[in-house]
Amino acid sequence: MTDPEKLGGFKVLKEAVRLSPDPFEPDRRLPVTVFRVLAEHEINLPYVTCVLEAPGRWRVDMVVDFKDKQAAHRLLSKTLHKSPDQQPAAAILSIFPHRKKPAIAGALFEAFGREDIHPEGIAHSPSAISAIVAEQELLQAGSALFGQFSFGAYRTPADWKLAQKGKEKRYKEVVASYQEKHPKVYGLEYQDRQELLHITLKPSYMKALGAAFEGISRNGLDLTFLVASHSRTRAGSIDLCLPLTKRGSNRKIIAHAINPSQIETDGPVGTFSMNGPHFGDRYGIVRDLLNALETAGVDLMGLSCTIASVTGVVPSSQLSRTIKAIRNCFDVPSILKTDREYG
Amino acid sequence: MDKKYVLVVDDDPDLVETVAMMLESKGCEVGRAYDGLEGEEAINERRPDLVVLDVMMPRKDGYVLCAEMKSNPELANIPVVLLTAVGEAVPTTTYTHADGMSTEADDYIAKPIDTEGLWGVVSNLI
Repeated sequence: MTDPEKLGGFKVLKEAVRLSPDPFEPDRRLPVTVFRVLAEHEINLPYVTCVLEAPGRWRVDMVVDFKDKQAAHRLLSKTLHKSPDQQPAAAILSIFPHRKKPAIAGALFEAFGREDIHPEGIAHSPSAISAIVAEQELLQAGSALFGQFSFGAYRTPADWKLAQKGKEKRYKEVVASYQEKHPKVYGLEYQDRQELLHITLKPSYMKALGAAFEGISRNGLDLTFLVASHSRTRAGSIDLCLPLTKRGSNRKIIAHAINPSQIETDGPVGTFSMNGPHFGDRYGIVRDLLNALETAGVDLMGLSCTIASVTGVVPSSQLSRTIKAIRNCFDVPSILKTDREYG
Repeated sequence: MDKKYVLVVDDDPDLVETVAMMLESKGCEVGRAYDGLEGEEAINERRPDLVVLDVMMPRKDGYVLCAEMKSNPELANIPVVLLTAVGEAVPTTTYTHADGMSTEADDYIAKPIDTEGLWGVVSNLI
């Protein structure tokens, strides 16, 4: 047996609610519409994912603090004339750093699969992978991580359980609130020549995908985007970005683990991540970004917001336009192109 | 010339990654820690050429770790740059610039940070 992968730690946000707007008709402007309404009512979003599943059809998941549950539910229902799907007692469990290694995501899938835990959502930031779990499964989910990973901050599951007393309060204490007029981004990184893979799966996907991610990791590829979504009312889906390979090996490796008919690919695409400051504690960032991209004529394909970052997927041909739009909307002191050449 | 080893300590993992990417792009080797205690362990494991240290962190905050380093003769010469979120930017904080100055940190940068500005400070100290 291999040694557990050593990670820095994990964060937990409790007392949260997962909401998934589910409009009657496809609406290509769904993210722009719902995040504008939520920002106008000053609702913070510690977790957001949006994936374009088909032309005009978005799959959107978000997490709001319990105190904002009623307001967010009411606003979404009023705007879309339909109640959103919801998990009223959710928690966000985030592990870090993943160092863009697919094997870390794979080990997380395996850990959850082994314990029969089915997260309702997974989002990716440049450092962390966040999973939405039902609050009653939180301790089990946290304990499951220890078989796959070791952590500097918590040596054993007992350490972690002990630390949960008052943990959510501490999490919120260390999240500061900034209110500059022109939001400052600590850093912006982007990658070109990526491939977007969309996988439709049943909840039992976890173990199979863990092995597939391990295989992708052996090829030394960086995982630049990862979003998963699952609820009682919809089929599960996973969207991920990897560097384009000449022989389509990403698809082959995943197809070896699951039914190939469940995989669609799109590319070339570009990915970008902007970090800071604590977007989850500041309403309006997602709205501002979506407005900027729409104004610039960028066709967003996916978005993942968690911890303190927003990661997005756009067509490769629109990547430079995307970076320009972000620079026009936010104060961006540094930009790094971080894609690597692969054979 | 040997690569300089810089340790970045912050409880915001995305910020650690952003600062680490900037430092790596400048040719530094970067260690990562996510709270004060982990930072202390990392320093004892391998002496860094410089520490970039957040102030508000769980378990042990940056002021305490910095003060401990500066009072330890074996660690006192390691330059420390504090990342501070104090003053008007965060009205609710109990931390102040005066606290920061009393820790004998070699320099500090106010959040929200400018990564290029941070490199200016770091490159002056290593």
